[in-house]
Amino acid sequence: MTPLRFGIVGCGAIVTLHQLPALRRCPSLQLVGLVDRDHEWAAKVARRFGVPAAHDDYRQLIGKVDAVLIATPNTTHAAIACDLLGQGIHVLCEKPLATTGEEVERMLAAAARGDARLMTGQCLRFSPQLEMLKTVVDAGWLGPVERVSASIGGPYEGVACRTDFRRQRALSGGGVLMDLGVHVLDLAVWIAGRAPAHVEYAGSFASGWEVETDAEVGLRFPGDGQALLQASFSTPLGNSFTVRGSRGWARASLYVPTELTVFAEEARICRRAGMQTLHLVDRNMYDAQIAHFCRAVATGEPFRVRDAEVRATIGVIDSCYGRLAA
Amino acid sequence: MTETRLMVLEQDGQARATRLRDLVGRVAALGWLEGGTSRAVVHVGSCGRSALAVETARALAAALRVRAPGLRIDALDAAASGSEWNGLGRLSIDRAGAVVVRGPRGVALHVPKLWFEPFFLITVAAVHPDRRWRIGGVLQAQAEILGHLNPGAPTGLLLSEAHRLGASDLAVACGTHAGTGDWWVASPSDVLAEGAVARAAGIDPRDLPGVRTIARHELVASWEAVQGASDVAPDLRGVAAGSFGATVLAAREQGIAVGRRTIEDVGLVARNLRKVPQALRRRLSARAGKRKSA
Repeated sequence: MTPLRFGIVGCGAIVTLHQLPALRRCPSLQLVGLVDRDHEWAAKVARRFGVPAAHDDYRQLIGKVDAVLIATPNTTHAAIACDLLGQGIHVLCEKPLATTGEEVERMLAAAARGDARLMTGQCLRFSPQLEMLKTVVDAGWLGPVERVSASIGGPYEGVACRTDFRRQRALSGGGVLMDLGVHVLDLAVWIAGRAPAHVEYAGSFASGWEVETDAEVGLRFPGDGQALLQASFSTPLGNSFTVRGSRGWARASLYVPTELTVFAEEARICRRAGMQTLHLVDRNMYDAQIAHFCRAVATGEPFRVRDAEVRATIGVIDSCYGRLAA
Repeated sequence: MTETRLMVLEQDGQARATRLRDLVGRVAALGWLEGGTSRAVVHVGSCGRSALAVETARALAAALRVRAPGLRIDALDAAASGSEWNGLGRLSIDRAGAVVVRGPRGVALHVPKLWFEPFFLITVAAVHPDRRWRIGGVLQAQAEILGHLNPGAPTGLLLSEAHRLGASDLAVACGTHAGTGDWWVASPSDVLAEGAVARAAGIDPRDLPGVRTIARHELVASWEAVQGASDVAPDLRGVAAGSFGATVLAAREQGIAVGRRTIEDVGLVARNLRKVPQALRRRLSARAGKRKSA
């Protein structure tokens, strides 16, 4: 298989800490260039990671790459992705894919026009404990999903970042719900296997922020399923994801990839011994994500993050921010 | 009324097929075939596997089929030849179909994914002398599944975890006595079935190494049922291996486990010791930096 010629647009903390090391380890691609508005910074990152070229405009990648990772501030995703997808360049775009449902539709249309593929980088879906959680739910060990509860976040001061775009609505497009909440929102939609029919939302703002710093979302899925999701830039939360079914429950820490706790009341193993902790093989989720992206582009297999799921997730954010009502 | 927990049957000069029908009938009458699930697994232990064990397992599977025609029945019989289980599904145990669970002592073990699903489990074991457990029976048969998935793990751990995590719903121990012919001991409790065999072999069940291993982690069943059943049990004296050999093997296993843990611990200590100079350097340079800035 010929390696994909790969470019990176945006060189923030997520790229230098996680994505670039994973991209360098991936044998299915060849890094040809990276882009940052700050050319000096781009050149520095390129030197550090051995990337041959550094640019200050993503258009300079056109004709040189087969695929890109977009990791710029949220409100810029749609314009950059539409441009590149229109040129037939496959796009892996950091979460959130877009800041509104309307942008999502534009991006999907651009992908269809350019005969290119677009995947959202929902890295947690590739973390072993959450992959196993999905397997457990799909295998029916817990019975039909009745309730999902999840929390993510902690004081913003602890977040690794190169710029402070998260505080500015013009760049972030939303607050903690858009930035961190989208992780658990995406997982809830993925695990439930359907889009929610009803959304409730409460958010609060800390001083100095243009966007909400704490968010709580309640979802009701068609049938009986519910989800309660919390995200915060101000308070240390549990950073866990729990699924309760009619016949059991499973809980994963979002950041401990090697463990999943399961209790299934009809399972032989739980009958006498109670809940069980599954011990999983550690694997870097960014490595798994990029390997999946490259394989899916090469073989045409569906992406793990489906378009319908992205529509549902961004649709919830739209509802929360009251855009649909407007 | 006292609930019956143990059933013993001998051939009594009748044809094996006749006594198997009796066995199945009695087991069913006691309600021990009521699984309440849509799937059943009939497991035949590989160690000491005999024609009697296979015939017993097939008779029980046939009875399940008659009682619940829609029931999915699979045979788990690693030593079976191709056509022995025609008409039933065959289960095989491998790492691909396993997950790792961490036990209460932090030990990780591969277990079949199947154990996370509801199913009715019958284990049939041909009783034989075993150097480690003195008597190889139901407990050893249960541990075989974990042994296959966790080669090299201490057998005591496998035995106790197999009992804790995957004990049978119906345990049947069987054998053929030179004088009196076939015999069967059946119980919904794997430990009781094993204990009854031990008693018939002239061993106090509490002294059986397998039962002692389990008793370290849980309160084992009252032995009154075993006491009563021993009056009608076959005379199995001579079926058990010697206690001295079992003690030596247990000590050897313990020694190997301690040795392994020590090697692991020494490795961890060495790795941490290697980090000390780096940590000191970092500390000192941080202090030097602070002093300069002051």
